[in-house]
Amino acid sequence: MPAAIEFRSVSYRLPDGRALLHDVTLEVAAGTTVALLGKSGSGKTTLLRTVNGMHGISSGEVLVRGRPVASQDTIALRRSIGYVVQETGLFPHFTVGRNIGLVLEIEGRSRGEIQERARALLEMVGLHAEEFAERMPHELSGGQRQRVGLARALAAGQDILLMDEPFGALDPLTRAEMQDVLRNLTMHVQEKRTTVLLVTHDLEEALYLAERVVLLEDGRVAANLRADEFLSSTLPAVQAYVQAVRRRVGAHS
Amino acid sequence: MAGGGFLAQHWDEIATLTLEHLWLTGAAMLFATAISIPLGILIARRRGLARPVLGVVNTLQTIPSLAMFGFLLPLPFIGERAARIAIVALVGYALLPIVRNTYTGITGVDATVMDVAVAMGMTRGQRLMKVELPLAMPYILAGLRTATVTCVGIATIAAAVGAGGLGEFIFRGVASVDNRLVLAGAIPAALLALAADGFLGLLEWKLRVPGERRP
Repeated sequence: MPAAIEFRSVSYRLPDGRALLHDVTLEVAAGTTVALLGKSGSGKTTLLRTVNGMHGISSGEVLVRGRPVASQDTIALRRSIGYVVQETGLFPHFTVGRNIGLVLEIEGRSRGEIQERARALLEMVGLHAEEFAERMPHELSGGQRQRVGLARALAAGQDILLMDEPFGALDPLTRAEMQDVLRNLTMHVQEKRTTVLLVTHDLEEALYLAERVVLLEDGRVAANLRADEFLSSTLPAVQAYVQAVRRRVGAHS
Repeated sequence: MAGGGFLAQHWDEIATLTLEHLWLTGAAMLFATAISIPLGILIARRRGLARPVLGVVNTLQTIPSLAMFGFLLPLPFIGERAARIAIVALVGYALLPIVRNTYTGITGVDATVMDVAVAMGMTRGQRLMKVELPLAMPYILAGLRTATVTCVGIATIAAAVGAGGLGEFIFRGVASVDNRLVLAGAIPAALLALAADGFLGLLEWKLRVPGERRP
Protein backbone atom coordinates (compact mmCIF):
# COMPACT_ATOMS: atom_id res chain seq x y z
CA MET A 1 0.00 0.00 0.00
CA PRO A 2 1.43 3.42 -0.87
CA ALA A 3 2.09 5.91 1.91
CA ALA A 4 -0.77 8.35 2.45
CA ILE A 5 1.68 11.21 2.03
CA GLU A 6 5.20 11.03 0.70
CA PHE A 7 7.78 13.76 0.25
CA ARG A 8 10.59 12.95 -2.15
CA SER A 9 13.55 15.34 -2.00
CA VAL A 10 11.23 18.29 -1.69
CA SER A 11 12.85 21.70 -1.83
CA TYR A 12 11.40 25.15 -1.95
CA ARG A 13 13.58 28.15 -2.64
CA LEU A 14 12.55 31.78 -2.52
CA PRO A 15 13.39 33.93 -5.56
CA ASP A 16 16.40 35.28 -3.64
CA GLY A 17 17.78 31.75 -3.36
CA ARG A 18 17.04 31.14 0.32
CA ALA A 19 15.69 27.61 0.85
CA LEU A 20 12.58 27.24 3.04
CA LEU A 21 12.57 23.48 2.43
CA HIS A 22 15.72 21.61 1.67
CA ASP A 23 15.68 18.09 0.27
CA VAL A 24 12.92 16.84 2.55
CA THR A 25 12.24 13.12 2.23
CA LEU A 26 9.55 11.74 4.46
CA GLU A 27 6.72 9.22 4.51
CA VAL A 28 3.45 9.34 6.37
CA ALA A 29 2.05 5.82 6.41
CA ALA A 30 -1.70 5.49 5.97
CA GLY A 31 -3.55 5.54 9.26
CA THR A 32 -0.68 7.00 11.28
CA THR A 33 -0.06 10.35 12.86
CA VAL A 34 3.20 12.16 12.18
CA ALA A 35 4.09 15.28 14.13
CA LEU A 36 6.29 18.01 12.67
CA LEU A 37 8.28 19.76 15.37
CA GLY A 38 10.70 22.63 15.06
CA LYS A 39 11.29 26.28 15.75
CA SER A 40 9.29 29.00 14.05
CA GLY A 41 10.62 29.38 10.54
CA SER A 42 11.90 25.82 10.35
CA GLY A 43 9.55 25.09 7.46
CA LYS A 44 6.84 23.05 9.22
CA THR A 45 3.89 25.00 7.91
CA THR A 46 5.39 25.32 4.44
CA LEU A 47 5.89 21.57 4.26
CA LEU A 48 2.35 20.92 5.49
CA ARG A 49 0.88 23.22 2.85
CA THR A 50 2.63 21.49 -0.03
CA VAL A 51 0.40 18.47 0.61
CA ASN A 52 -2.84 20.14 -0.52
CA GLY A 53 -1.17 22.37 -3.07
CA MET A 54 -1.48 25.51 -0.94
CA HIS A 55 2.25 25.97 -1.33
CA GLY A 56 4.35 25.20 -4.37
CA ILE A 57 7.69 23.42 -4.46
CA SER A 58 10.84 24.15 -6.46
CA SER A 59 12.02 20.61 -6.91
CA GLY A 60 11.25 17.09 -5.79
CA GLU A 61 7.83 15.54 -5.54
CA VAL A 62 4.95 15.38 -3.08
CA LEU A 63 2.72 12.32 -3.43
CA VAL A 64 -0.71 11.89 -1.90
CA ARG A 65 -2.16 8.38 -1.91
CA GLY A 66 0.68 7.38 -4.24
CA ARG A 67 0.04 10.06 -6.87
CA PRO A 68 1.98 13.30 -7.37
CA VAL A 69 0.11 16.35 -6.11
CA ALA A 70 1.09 18.20 -9.27
CA SER A 71 -0.76 15.70 -11.46
CA GLN A 72 -3.96 15.69 -9.40
CA ASP A 73 -7.00 17.91 -9.76
CA THR A 74 -6.29 20.54 -7.09
CA ILE A 75 -9.92 21.16 -6.15
CA ALA A 76 -10.72 17.45 -5.77
CA LEU A 77 -7.48 16.87 -3.86
CA ARG A 78 -8.24 19.67 -1.40
CA ARG A 79 -11.76 18.40 -0.82
CA SER A 80 -10.35 15.00 0.06
CA ILE A 81 -7.96 16.38 2.70
CA GLY A 82 -9.10 17.90 5.98
CA TYR A 83 -7.46 21.16 7.05
CA VAL A 84 -7.41 22.58 10.56
CA VAL A 85 -5.58 25.72 11.66
CA GLN A 86 -5.10 27.44 15.00
CA GLU A 87 -7.42 30.33 14.17
CA THR A 88 -10.06 27.80 12.99
CA GLY A 89 -11.29 30.07 10.19
CA LEU A 90 -14.95 29.20 10.71
CA PHE A 91 -17.18 31.10 8.31
CA PRO A 92 -18.73 33.76 10.55
CA HIS A 93 -21.88 34.10 8.46
CA PHE A 94 -22.78 30.39 8.46
CA THR A 95 -24.29 28.36 11.27
CA VAL A 96 -22.17 25.70 12.92
CA GLY A 97 -24.07 23.02 11.00
CA ARG A 98 -23.49 24.70 7.65
CA ASN A 99 -19.82 25.21 8.44
CA ILE A 100 -19.43 21.51 9.11
CA GLY A 101 -21.30 20.49 5.98
CA LEU A 102 -19.57 22.96 3.68
CA VAL A 103 -17.40 20.58 1.69
CA LEU A 104 -20.45 18.42 1.06
CA GLU A 105 -22.38 21.54 0.09
CA ILE A 106 -19.82 22.69 -2.48
CA GLU A 107 -19.76 19.17 -3.85
CA GLY A 108 -23.48 19.55 -4.43
CA ARG A 109 -24.78 16.85 -2.08
CA SER A 110 -28.38 16.83 -0.99
CA ARG A 111 -29.55 18.92 1.94
CA GLY A 112 -30.71 15.94 3.92
CA GLU A 113 -27.39 14.17 3.58
CA ILE A 114 -25.47 17.29 4.58
CA GLN A 115 -27.60 17.88 7.66
CA GLU A 116 -27.42 14.31 8.79
CA ARG A 117 -23.66 14.20 8.38
CA ALA A 118 -23.14 17.54 10.14
CA ARG A 119 -25.20 16.35 13.09
CA ALA A 120 -23.34 13.07 13.32
CA LEU A 121 -19.98 14.83 13.27
CA LEU A 122 -21.09 17.32 15.93
CA GLU A 123 -21.93 14.46 18.27
CA MET A 124 -18.60 12.81 17.48
CA VAL A 125 -16.69 15.88 18.64
CA GLY A 126 -18.80 16.01 21.78
CA LEU A 127 -21.25 18.81 20.95
CA HIS A 128 -24.98 18.12 21.07
CA ALA A 129 -26.39 18.64 17.60
CA GLU A 130 -29.73 19.88 18.97
CA GLU A 131 -27.97 22.61 20.88
CA PHE A 132 -25.19 23.59 18.52
CA ALA A 133 -26.19 23.00 14.89
CA GLU A 134 -28.03 26.32 14.56
CA ARG A 135 -25.60 28.44 16.55
CA MET A 136 -23.31 30.98 14.95
CA PRO A 137 -19.52 30.68 15.34
CA HIS A 138 -19.20 33.82 17.45
CA GLU A 139 -21.41 32.25 20.08
CA LEU A 140 -18.88 29.48 20.74
CA SER A 141 -15.92 29.26 23.12
CA GLY A 142 -12.43 28.71 21.76
CA GLY A 143 -12.54 25.00 22.48
CA GLN A 144 -15.98 24.60 20.92
CA ARG A 145 -14.84 26.45 17.82
CA GLN A 146 -11.90 24.11 17.45
CA ARG A 147 -14.24 21.11 17.82
CA VAL A 148 -16.37 22.48 15.01
CA GLY A 149 -13.25 23.08 12.91
CA LEU A 150 -12.25 19.48 13.43
CA ALA A 151 -15.72 18.19 12.57
CA ARG A 152 -15.73 20.31 9.42
CA ALA A 153 -12.37 18.96 8.32
CA LEU A 154 -13.61 15.38 8.41
CA ALA A 155 -17.28 15.69 7.46
CA ALA A 156 -16.81 14.81 3.80
CA GLY A 157 -15.06 11.53 4.58
CA GLN A 158 -11.53 12.91 4.35
CA ASP A 159 -9.01 10.20 5.26
CA ILE A 160 -6.09 12.63 5.53
CA LEU A 161 -5.99 15.50 7.98
CA LEU A 162 -3.54 18.41 7.92
CA MET A 163 -3.32 20.31 11.19
CA ASP A 164 -1.32 23.47 11.76
CA GLU A 165 -0.95 24.23 15.48
CA PRO A 166 -4.59 23.27 15.93
CA PHE A 167 -4.71 23.65 19.70
CA GLY A 168 -2.06 26.34 20.10
CA ALA A 169 -4.47 29.04 21.24
CA LEU A 170 -6.27 26.95 23.87
CA ASP A 171 -5.72 26.81 27.61
CA PRO A 172 -3.90 23.67 28.84
CA LEU A 173 -7.03 21.87 30.07
CA THR A 174 -9.05 22.49 26.92
CA ARG A 175 -6.00 21.56 24.94
CA ALA A 176 -5.72 18.17 26.66
CA GLU A 177 -9.44 17.64 26.09
CA MET A 178 -9.07 18.44 22.42
CA GLN A 179 -6.15 16.05 22.04
CA ASP A 180 -8.41 13.27 23.25
CA VAL A 181 -11.24 14.37 20.98
CA LEU A 182 -8.81 14.24 18.06
CA ARG A 183 -7.49 10.80 18.98
CA ASN A 184 -10.95 9.42 19.36
CA LEU A 185 -12.12 11.00 16.13
CA THR A 186 -9.23 9.80 13.98
CA MET A 187 -9.90 6.27 15.19
CA HIS A 188 -13.64 6.22 14.76
CA VAL A 189 -14.77 8.68 12.13
CA GLN A 190 -14.20 6.06 9.47
CA GLU A 191 -13.52 2.35 9.37
CA LYS A 192 -9.83 2.97 8.85
CA ARG A 193 -7.82 5.33 10.99
CA THR A 194 -7.39 8.83 9.64
CA THR A 195 -3.88 9.82 8.55
CA VAL A 196 -2.74 12.96 10.33
CA LEU A 197 0.11 15.34 9.62
CA LEU A 198 0.35 17.62 12.61
CA VAL A 199 2.43 20.77 12.97
CA THR A 200 2.98 21.65 16.62
CA HIS A 201 5.26 23.56 18.96
CA ASP A 202 4.27 21.31 21.81
CA LEU A 203 6.62 18.38 22.41
CA GLU A 204 4.23 16.65 24.82
CA GLU A 205 1.41 16.95 22.30
CA ALA A 206 3.60 15.47 19.58
CA LEU A 207 4.59 12.55 21.77
CA TYR A 208 1.03 11.96 22.91
CA LEU A 209 -0.63 12.02 19.52
CA ALA A 210 1.95 10.83 17.01
CA GLU A 211 3.55 7.55 16.11
CA ARG A 212 6.45 9.33 14.50
CA VAL A 213 8.00 12.67 15.33
CA VAL A 214 9.92 14.62 12.74
CA LEU A 215 12.16 17.48 13.79
CA LEU A 216 12.73 20.15 11.16
CA GLU A 217 15.64 22.57 11.28
CA ASP A 218 16.06 25.30 8.68
CA GLY A 219 13.93 23.40 6.21
CA ARG A 220 15.76 20.10 6.63
CA VAL A 221 14.75 16.92 8.39
CA ALA A 222 16.99 16.86 11.44
CA ALA A 223 15.38 13.76 12.92
CA ASN A 224 12.63 11.31 12.03
CA LEU A 225 12.00 9.01 14.96
CA ARG A 226 9.39 6.81 16.55
CA ALA A 227 7.65 8.84 19.23
CA ASP A 228 8.67 6.45 22.00
CA GLU A 229 12.33 6.79 21.00
CA PHE A 230 12.36 10.55 20.62
CA LEU A 231 13.25 11.53 24.19
CA SER A 232 16.06 8.98 24.47
CA SER A 233 17.57 9.85 21.11
CA THR A 234 21.25 10.76 21.13
CA LEU A 235 20.96 12.92 18.03
CA PRO A 236 22.42 16.32 18.96
CA ALA A 237 19.60 18.22 17.26
CA VAL A 238 16.97 16.27 19.20
CA GLN A 239 18.82 16.62 22.50
CA ALA A 240 19.22 20.35 21.97
CA TYR A 241 15.51 20.70 21.12
CA VAL A 242 14.31 18.64 24.07
CA GLN A 243 16.58 20.50 26.46
CA ALA A 244 15.43 23.88 25.18
CA VAL A 245 11.77 22.90 25.52
CA ARG A 246 12.27 21.43 28.99
CA ARG A 247 14.07 24.54 30.17
CA ARG A 248 11.19 26.66 29.01
CA VAL A 249 8.66 24.43 30.74
CA GLY A 250 10.78 24.50 33.89
CA ALA A 251 11.00 28.26 33.87
CA HIS A 252 7.23 28.52 33.67
CA SER A 253 6.34 26.13 36.47
CA MET B 1 -52.64 81.81 3.37
CA ALA B 2 -52.30 80.30 -0.04
CA GLY B 3 -50.26 77.29 1.18
CA GLY B 4 -53.11 74.83 0.77
CA GLY B 5 -53.98 76.34 -2.56
CA PHE B 6 -50.39 76.11 -3.75
CA LEU B 7 -50.15 72.41 -2.88
CA ALA B 8 -53.49 71.62 -4.50
CA GLN B 9 -52.47 73.51 -7.58
CA HIS B 10 -49.09 71.80 -7.92
CA TRP B 11 -49.93 68.37 -6.58
CA ASP B 12 -49.95 66.63 -9.95
CA GLU B 13 -46.72 68.23 -10.97
CA ILE B 14 -45.00 67.32 -7.70
CA ALA B 15 -46.05 63.72 -8.20
CA THR B 16 -44.86 63.65 -11.81
CA LEU B 17 -41.53 65.26 -11.07
CA THR B 18 -40.96 63.04 -8.05
CA LEU B 19 -41.52 59.99 -10.25
CA GLU B 20 -39.18 61.42 -12.86
CA HIS B 21 -36.61 62.07 -10.17
CA LEU B 22 -36.98 58.51 -8.91
CA TRP B 23 -36.61 57.12 -12.40
CA LEU B 24 -33.44 59.10 -13.12
CA THR B 25 -31.87 58.11 -9.82
CA GLY B 26 -33.04 54.51 -10.05
CA ALA B 27 -31.75 54.00 -13.59
CA ALA B 28 -28.43 55.60 -12.69
CA MET B 29 -28.08 53.41 -9.60
CA LEU B 30 -28.81 50.27 -11.61
CA PHE B 31 -26.11 51.09 -14.15
CA ALA B 32 -23.69 52.22 -11.45
CA THR B 33 -24.20 49.02 -9.46
CA ALA B 34 -23.79 46.84 -12.52
CA ILE B 35 -20.48 48.55 -13.28
CA SER B 36 -19.13 49.18 -9.80
CA ILE B 37 -19.52 45.83 -8.05
CA PRO B 38 -17.69 43.85 -10.78
CA LEU B 39 -15.10 46.64 -10.95
CA GLY B 40 -14.60 46.50 -7.19
CA ILE B 41 -14.20 42.72 -7.36
CA LEU B 42 -11.72 43.07 -10.23
CA ILE B 43 -9.47 45.51 -8.40
CA ALA B 44 -9.65 43.36 -5.27
CA ARG B 45 -8.30 40.48 -7.41
CA ARG B 46 -5.67 42.54 -9.23
CA ARG B 47 -4.45 44.92 -6.57
CA GLY B 48 -2.20 46.67 -9.07
CA LEU B 49 -5.30 48.07 -10.75
CA ALA B 50 -6.75 49.41 -7.51
CA ARG B 51 -4.82 52.68 -7.43
CA PRO B 52 -5.43 53.76 -11.04
CA VAL B 53 -9.10 52.71 -11.03
CA LEU B 54 -9.86 54.38 -7.71
CA GLY B 55 -7.92 57.41 -8.92
CA VAL B 56 -10.12 57.76 -11.99
CA VAL B 57 -13.45 57.32 -10.19
CA ASN B 58 -12.22 59.65 -7.49
CA THR B 59 -11.47 62.32 -10.09
CA LEU B 60 -14.96 61.93 -11.58
CA GLN B 61 -16.32 62.68 -8.13
CA THR B 62 -14.48 66.00 -7.97
CA ILE B 63 -16.03 67.43 -11.14
CA PRO B 64 -18.61 70.06 -10.18
CA SER B 65 -21.99 68.63 -11.13
CA LEU B 66 -23.12 71.57 -13.24
CA ALA B 67 -19.87 71.30 -15.22
CA MET B 68 -20.35 67.56 -15.63
CA PHE B 69 -23.77 68.07 -17.21
CA GLY B 70 -22.22 70.72 -19.43
CA PHE B 71 -19.40 68.44 -20.57
CA LEU B 72 -21.83 65.72 -21.59
CA LEU B 73 -24.11 68.03 -23.55
CA PRO B 74 -22.14 68.07 -26.85
CA LEU B 75 -21.39 64.32 -26.85
CA PRO B 76 -22.98 62.16 -29.56
CA PHE B 77 -25.75 59.80 -28.43
CA ILE B 78 -25.45 60.81 -24.76
CA GLY B 79 -25.99 64.48 -25.51
CA GLU B 80 -29.02 63.84 -27.70
CA ARG B 81 -31.41 63.33 -24.81
CA ALA B 82 -31.46 65.16 -21.51
CA ALA B 83 -32.30 62.01 -19.55
CA ARG B 84 -29.24 60.26 -20.99
CA ILE B 85 -27.00 63.11 -19.91
CA ALA B 86 -28.48 63.05 -16.44
CA ILE B 87 -28.13 59.29 -16.04
CA VAL B 88 -24.55 59.17 -17.29
CA ALA B 89 -23.56 62.02 -15.00
CA LEU B 90 -25.23 60.41 -12.01
CA VAL B 91 -23.51 57.09 -12.76
CA GLY B 92 -20.21 58.98 -12.71
CA TYR B 93 -20.89 60.20 -9.18
CA ALA B 94 -22.20 56.88 -7.92
CA LEU B 95 -19.15 54.86 -8.97
CA LEU B 96 -16.69 55.87 -6.28
CA PRO B 97 -18.56 54.88 -3.11
CA ILE B 98 -19.64 51.51 -4.55
CA VAL B 99 -16.31 50.58 -6.14
CA ARG B 100 -14.35 51.64 -3.10
CA ASN B 101 -16.59 49.87 -0.62
CA THR B 102 -16.74 46.66 -2.67
CA TYR B 103 -12.96 46.71 -2.81
CA THR B 104 -12.59 47.43 0.91
CA GLY B 105 -15.16 44.82 1.83
CA ILE B 106 -13.58 42.04 -0.18
CA THR B 107 -9.97 42.80 0.69
CA GLY B 108 -11.02 43.05 4.33
CA VAL B 109 -12.29 39.47 4.57
CA ASP B 110 -10.31 37.65 7.25
CA ALA B 111 -7.20 36.05 5.74
CA THR B 112 -7.62 32.80 7.69
CA VAL B 113 -11.20 32.44 6.49
CA MET B 114 -10.07 32.82 2.89
CA ASP B 115 -7.15 30.44 3.44
CA VAL B 116 -9.53 27.80 4.76
CA ALA B 117 -11.95 28.42 1.90
CA VAL B 118 -9.17 27.67 -0.57
CA ALA B 119 -7.84 24.72 1.42
CA MET B 120 -11.22 23.03 1.64
CA GLY B 121 -11.49 23.02 -2.12
CA MET B 122 -13.85 25.86 -2.98
CA THR B 123 -13.63 27.03 -6.59
CA ARG B 124 -13.05 30.73 -7.31
CA GLY B 125 -16.73 31.22 -8.00
CA GLN B 126 -17.76 29.48 -4.80
CA ARG B 127 -15.37 31.59 -2.78
CA LEU B 128 -16.82 34.75 -4.31
CA MET B 129 -20.48 33.81 -3.94
CA LYS B 130 -20.37 31.97 -0.62
CA VAL B 131 -17.65 33.80 1.27
CA GLU B 132 -16.36 37.06 -0.17
CA LEU B 133 -19.57 38.74 -1.30
CA PRO B 134 -21.65 37.81 1.77
CA LEU B 135 -18.89 38.98 4.09
CA ALA B 136 -18.37 42.18 2.07
CA MET B 137 -22.12 42.84 1.77
CA PRO B 138 -22.43 45.31 4.66
CA TYR B 139 -19.68 47.39 3.04
CA ILE B 140 -21.20 47.17 -0.42
CA LEU B 141 -24.59 48.21 0.89
CA ALA B 142 -23.04 51.12 2.76
CA GLY B 143 -21.51 52.20 -0.54
CA LEU B 144 -24.85 51.87 -2.34
CA ARG B 145 -26.44 53.94 0.38
CA THR B 146 -23.95 56.78 0.06
CA ALA B 147 -24.21 56.65 -3.72
CA THR B 148 -28.02 56.73 -3.70
CA VAL B 149 -28.24 59.69 -1.34
CA THR B 150 -25.64 61.55 -3.41
CA CYS B 151 -27.54 60.79 -6.63
CA VAL B 152 -30.89 61.95 -5.28
CA GLY B 153 -29.25 65.27 -4.46
CA ILE B 154 -27.30 65.72 -7.66
CA ALA B 155 -30.29 64.69 -9.77
CA THR B 156 -31.88 68.03 -8.88
CA ILE B 157 -29.22 69.69 -11.05
CA ALA B 158 -30.32 67.55 -14.01
CA ALA B 159 -33.14 70.02 -14.56
CA ALA B 160 -30.50 72.47 -15.78
CA VAL B 161 -30.12 70.43 -18.96
CA GLY B 162 -33.86 69.79 -19.20
CA ALA B 163 -33.87 66.27 -17.83
CA GLY B 164 -36.72 67.06 -15.46
CA GLY B 165 -36.96 65.80 -11.91
CA LEU B 166 -37.58 67.84 -8.79
CA GLY B 167 -34.85 70.26 -9.80
CA GLU B 168 -37.43 71.81 -12.17
CA PHE B 169 -39.21 73.33 -9.20
CA ILE B 170 -36.01 74.51 -7.65
CA PHE B 171 -34.73 76.22 -10.80
CA ARG B 172 -38.11 77.76 -11.46
CA GLY B 173 -38.37 78.90 -7.87
CA VAL B 174 -34.94 80.49 -7.95
CA ALA B 175 -35.69 82.24 -11.24
CA SER B 176 -39.01 83.63 -10.03
CA VAL B 177 -37.81 84.21 -6.43
CA ASP B 178 -40.59 81.97 -5.14
CA ASN B 179 -39.52 79.98 -2.11
CA ARG B 180 -42.65 77.87 -2.24
CA LEU B 181 -41.51 76.47 -5.57
CA VAL B 182 -37.98 75.87 -4.25
CA LEU B 183 -39.44 73.98 -1.31
CA ALA B 184 -41.81 72.02 -3.56
CA GLY B 185 -38.67 70.58 -5.15
CA ALA B 186 -36.38 70.45 -2.15
CA ILE B 187 -38.71 68.80 0.36
CA PRO B 188 -39.69 65.78 -1.79
CA ALA B 189 -36.02 65.41 -2.81
CA ALA B 190 -34.96 65.36 0.82
CA LEU B 191 -37.70 62.89 1.67
CA LEU B 192 -36.59 60.63 -1.18
CA ALA B 193 -33.03 60.73 0.08
CA LEU B 194 -34.13 59.94 3.62
CA ALA B 195 -36.35 57.08 2.47
CA ALA B 196 -33.58 55.54 0.36
CA ASP B 197 -31.12 55.96 3.21
CA GLY B 198 -33.49 54.34 5.68
CA PHE B 199 -34.38 51.44 3.41
CA LEU B 200 -30.76 50.61 2.53
CA GLY B 201 -29.73 51.06 6.14
CA LEU B 202 -32.33 48.50 7.14
CA LEU B 203 -31.07 46.10 4.47
CA GLU B 204 -27.52 46.65 5.66
CA TRP B 205 -28.57 45.77 9.21
CA LYS B 206 -30.41 42.67 8.02
CA LEU B 207 -27.41 41.40 6.09
CA ARG B 208 -24.78 42.24 8.70
CA VAL B 209 -22.35 39.49 9.60
CA PRO B 210 -23.27 38.10 13.01
CA GLY B 211 -20.75 38.80 15.72
CA GLU B 212 -18.71 41.20 13.63
CA ARG B 213 -18.13 44.77 14.59
CA ARG B 214 -17.43 45.91 11.06
CA PRO B 215 -20.12 48.28 9.71
